[in-house]
Order: sequence, then structure tokens, then C-alpha cells
Amino acid sequence: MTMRRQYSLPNCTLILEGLSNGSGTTGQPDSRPLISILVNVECYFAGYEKPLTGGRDFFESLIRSVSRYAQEFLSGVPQPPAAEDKPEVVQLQKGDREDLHRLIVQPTTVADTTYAGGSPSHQTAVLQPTQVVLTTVQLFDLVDAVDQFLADSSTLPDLSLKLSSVSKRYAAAHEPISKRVAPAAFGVTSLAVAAIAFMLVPIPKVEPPKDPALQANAQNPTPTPTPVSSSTSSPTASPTSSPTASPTSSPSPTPSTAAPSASELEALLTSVPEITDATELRVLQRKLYNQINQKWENRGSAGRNLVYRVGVGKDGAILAYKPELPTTNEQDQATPLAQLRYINPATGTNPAPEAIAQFKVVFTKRGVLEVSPWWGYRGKPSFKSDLTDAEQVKGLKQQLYDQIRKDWSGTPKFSRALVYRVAMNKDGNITDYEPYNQSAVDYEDDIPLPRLYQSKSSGTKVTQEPLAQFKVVFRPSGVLEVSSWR
Amino acid sequence: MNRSVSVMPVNSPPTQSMPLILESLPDPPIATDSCPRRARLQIDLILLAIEALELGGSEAMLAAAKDLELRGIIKNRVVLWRLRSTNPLRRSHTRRSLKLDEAKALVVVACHLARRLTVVIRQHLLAYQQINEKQLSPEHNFYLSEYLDRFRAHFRSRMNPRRAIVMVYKSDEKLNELGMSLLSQLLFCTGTSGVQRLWISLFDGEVG
Repeated sequence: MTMRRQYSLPNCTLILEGLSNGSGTTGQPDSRPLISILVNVECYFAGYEKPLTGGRDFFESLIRSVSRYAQEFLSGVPQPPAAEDKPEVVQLQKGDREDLHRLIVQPTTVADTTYAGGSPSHQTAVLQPTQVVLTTVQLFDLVDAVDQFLADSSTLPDLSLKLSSVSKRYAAAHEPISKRVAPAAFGVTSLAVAAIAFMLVPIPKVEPPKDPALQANAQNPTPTPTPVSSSTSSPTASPTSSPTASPTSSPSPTPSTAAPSASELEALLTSVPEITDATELRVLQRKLYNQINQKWENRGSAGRNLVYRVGVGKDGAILAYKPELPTTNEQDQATPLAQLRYINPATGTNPAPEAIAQFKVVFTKRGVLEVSPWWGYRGKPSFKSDLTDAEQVKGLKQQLYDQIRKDWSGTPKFSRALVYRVAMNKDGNITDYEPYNQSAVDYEDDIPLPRLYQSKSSGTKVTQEPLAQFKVVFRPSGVLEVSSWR
Repeated sequence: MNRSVSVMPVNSPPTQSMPLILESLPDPPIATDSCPRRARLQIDLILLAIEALELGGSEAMLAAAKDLELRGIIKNRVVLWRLRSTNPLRRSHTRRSLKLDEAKALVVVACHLARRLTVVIRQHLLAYQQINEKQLSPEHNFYLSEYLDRFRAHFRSRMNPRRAIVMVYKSDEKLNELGMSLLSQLLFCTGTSGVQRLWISLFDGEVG
């Protein structure tokens, strides 16, 4: 027999359904029976009719994300992502206005199997990410519902509150050193700054999460599954014609001083398929980050966080972008987006892209750049080598070693090994690389990879060609190691 | 059995023993036993916001310290003032360090008071949200503007205006923003695990 536990707050109610594994109660004779197996979770928010539901994976992810976000809210210090290898089902992000928060739930691909006999109706198949916009009070109610559950030892006692402070090294790498000592309270004030700055802006209407697929259909009575070249992306890249163009996803009003490309972004989104493959998004995310980070000057001059939705083509070129809130010309000029936007020199317009990926780009008030996929990650980016010919890979490995070795000599300044993932195409060009540990981020300028990457990569379409993936380790002793990435 | 024993206050609690209530807060893995700058600053500002919410806030802090059996650490008004003066922005800032146990005691007191003020905090935050939605300024809500008036007055009278960070808060608007962000942080302190969450967050970016 299933048992229910309910944790209620004014704006949020968490209902757990579970089973006892038969081992009895928590000890006291008249205490509540122990729930040790979770069947289903429902999370209701005031103002939203449908609850968020899921199984154990969903619930654990909810707990982690809520905990992390609450801590960042309190300290103002960016929190490290959870375990890299598993994308979170539930993600929390800063909202469009800074006293709003976005809760995104990724669709679960396979129904949770924590309880084989569970009624199938619990595992509603959601195909698109669900988004809920929460106010700060609503966010707190969610945090406290979770905390009440965690404090309840008669429900899933194996889940409990686990908190730890962000390490010095992580924080140092994610904020300019000079800014790092700024107190939390002042960090969080950027929330309020933005809120006041936008008082003249109509409040984005918070709509209940609808099934975006339905909306897409409603907008697009004949959803032609544009068969352009979406086949090159992985099979998971469903022909999402335009769910992102639905009203829920862009609640902000069209800014009066709109960047010229704002309308183009809307148009693009309705006309081309969206890139959803995790690996491809990850590569594009890095490309975008690198492009903007190199060109962004006058950091922090805008006086507030500037949030843009940026559309990127398969080759990583910025095709169009749109501020989340109206920006002034000066604010737009403070970002390098206009300068970086790709316009075909011949026609003076944008080429029609094959597919588009959307990113959320935040130029924070404190001079930190944040880039994340607009819809979060669905699935885990994988970096398996597509080049399988052993001889060819072996040759490339040697070539990579030689290229780096030629440019890297002398006594390293770093005291820990630097680990990078490096991708090469069959011609031996480095098409992508990514630091994999903290030292690798800190000492990126001391090694030749950024130069090799820039000089060799020629804006080729990043994931359309087969690549060989290598792990490159720079040792403090001066030793260089190149091996296949696994 | 012996009633006089239970009624009598313990005369001199052994100074080393840690009050039970602080045991839920782990020592962060930092090199020293005193608090980093951001933690000192943050704790004092949180308390400042409480004072702006509640008249006689500092009395309430002492009373709470007594109720929570933290009198061994927060002995009296002067000690409380000294602990809070470890905030580097204070006019009265001294180079004295804030020990972890002292910080824990202040955090526990702050969260205890915040919990008592839950209703007011939520009302203020809801009012602020509605005011924003109507594109009005905080002065349009009587209670909210009263809180912000008091917060600004407290801040200006106690913080050293020559400090760079304090200069940032010259204008009423900036101080209001600070007051509101502290208020939303106070809301998080009212929760079931608010004490732990606040405590751990104080050391973000500081631990090894």
C-alpha cells in the first residue's frame, strides 16, 4: 500500500508517495511508518495548476539544484555544478528580472524505474522542458518544503541535508580576484539594482507551464518537420520546429530600443530547427564563450546584469540575439555582441542557417561572463572519437604531441598537472579544446593550446566532421602526455 | 528530586564547553578559528536588517541569546557590540577577530529572531513585489518604507562613510536595494534548515 507524505508551505506543496520496504517503523511504537521507497513526487506551486512530477531521479535532482541555488542566493558566490557526468533533470537559474527565478525540468527519457509496479499514469511523458517562474518568496517556500522533507526521518531517511561551502579555488576561477572579496550582500544587490532599473517595464506575465509541444502545434498548424540538415545532429535532436518561440518562453516585452537582430532571432526560431544535441551544444557553448570573452571590454560598465538570448549557427557564429529586458544603446554597446554578429559581407544580411542553438548569455554587473544553453542540457555531452582508424588516430596523436611540444618548453609555473580535452579533425587541426581541471583554467595562457586553436581553426562546422578526441596533460615537471580521450 | 538544583542557574558554565545549539553548525575547513571578512560583514548586516524590522532589536538579540543559552558567548550589550564591530565597514571597527563560536552564536540568534519575524518579512517582500509590478517606488507602501527608512538610518549612523564599499551606498536607492536583498536573505534564514544554510554560505569561496 502506498503512503503519502505532504510538506506544505503557502506557495509550494510537496507530496511524496512511497512504500515501506517492510522493515517497520522508525523505532517508536506509535511513530509514523517508514517510507523507504519513493514511487512518485508531485510538486505544486501556487498559481500553477499542474504539478511537476517525477520519480526518484527527478526528486534527487530537485533537492540538489534547490540546495545549490539557495546557497548561491545567500552568498552571492557562484556554485560549482554537480557531478559533471550527469546532467541535472531539474535546473534553477536566475530569472529574467532579478527577483525572479527559473525552474527548468528536463523531460525524462525513460520512466523512473524505482518501482516496477507503479501505475504508468505517474510517468507522464513530457517531451519538452517545463519552465516555472518563481518569485523569491515562492523559491523560499520550495527550499523549505525540501528542507522539511530532508528533516523528516520517517520519509526516505537515506536523503538528508548535505551542505558544503564553495572552495576557494573554484570561487577564484569564476570571479575576478579583485571582486571576490566583495561581500555577499553587495553581490546580491545586483538583483535589486536590476529590479529598480526595470520598474518601467511591464512585468513579464507568469504563465503556467503548458505542454510546449501543443503550443507549437497551435502556432504552426502544419508542422512540417523541416528536414534540412538536422539529420547531421544526433537522433535526439527532435524536429523541434518552434517550441521556443512560444509565448511562455519569451515573456519579456519587445524592447523599444531593440537590437536590430531581435526580430531576426524570432524569425529564425520559427524557420529553422533547433540544435538540442548535448555534445553539439557543449561545443557551441565553448565557442560562444571564447568568442565573447575575448572581445568583451568595459566590463561592468553597464551597471547591471545584461541577459541576452543568443542564437548561434552550427559553426558557432552569432546569428541573432535579443536582450531579455529592454536595454539602452550604451548597454548594448558595452557588450561585444553587435561586433561579433555574423553578417554575410556579400549580401549584408544573415545567411539562412541550417539549424540554430540558443544560449543564455549573461554579462554580469561584476564583469563575469556566463553562457549556458537556453533550455539547459538534455543528456550528457559525449566526446567519443569518431575517427576510428587506429593508424590515423595514432598519427594524429603524434602530430598533436609535436605541435604542442614545439611551442611549450621551459619550466612550468604551475604546481599541479593541467588536463585538457583536445579535439582534432583528420587534417590535424585542433577544432576544440576544453580545460578539465581547475589548474587548466588558471594556466590556460601559459600553454600553446589557445594559440594553436586560433591559428588552425577556420570556423569550420564544428561537429559535422569526424574528430579524434585526446586527453592532454601538462605536468609541472615539464612532461607532456597525450592519450586518447575516453 | 532536588528542585533547587533545577531552578538555580548554573553559576559558571565551563568556558570550553560548546552550547548544544551550536553543534548543528560544523566548523568550516579553514586555516584559522576566526571568521573571514565577508562572513563578519554579512552577519552584522543581517543583524542590522533585523534591527530595522523590529524596534528594540538589540534588546531582542540579548534576550534571544539568553533564551538560547548563549549567554556564555554573548554576555552583555558591550560584548554584542564588540562582536558586531568586527564588521570591517563599521565606524567602530576594531582589528579584533570573530571566533567561529562567536559567529555561530550570532548566526543562531539572527535566525531565531528572523523566524519570529517571518510574517513581517514575507509581507514586506510581497509588498515589494507588488510595488515593482505596479512600477511604484517603495515609499508607496507604508510599512515597507518604514523598514527601509530605519535601515538606511542604522546603516548611515554605524558604517564608516570613508570605506569604498560604504560610499557605493550613498544614495537612498542603493541603500534600499541593500535593505531589500538583506530582507530576502532573512527570509531564507526563517526556514527549517535556515541556520545551517546561512552558516555554510558564509564560507563560500573561503574554504580550502
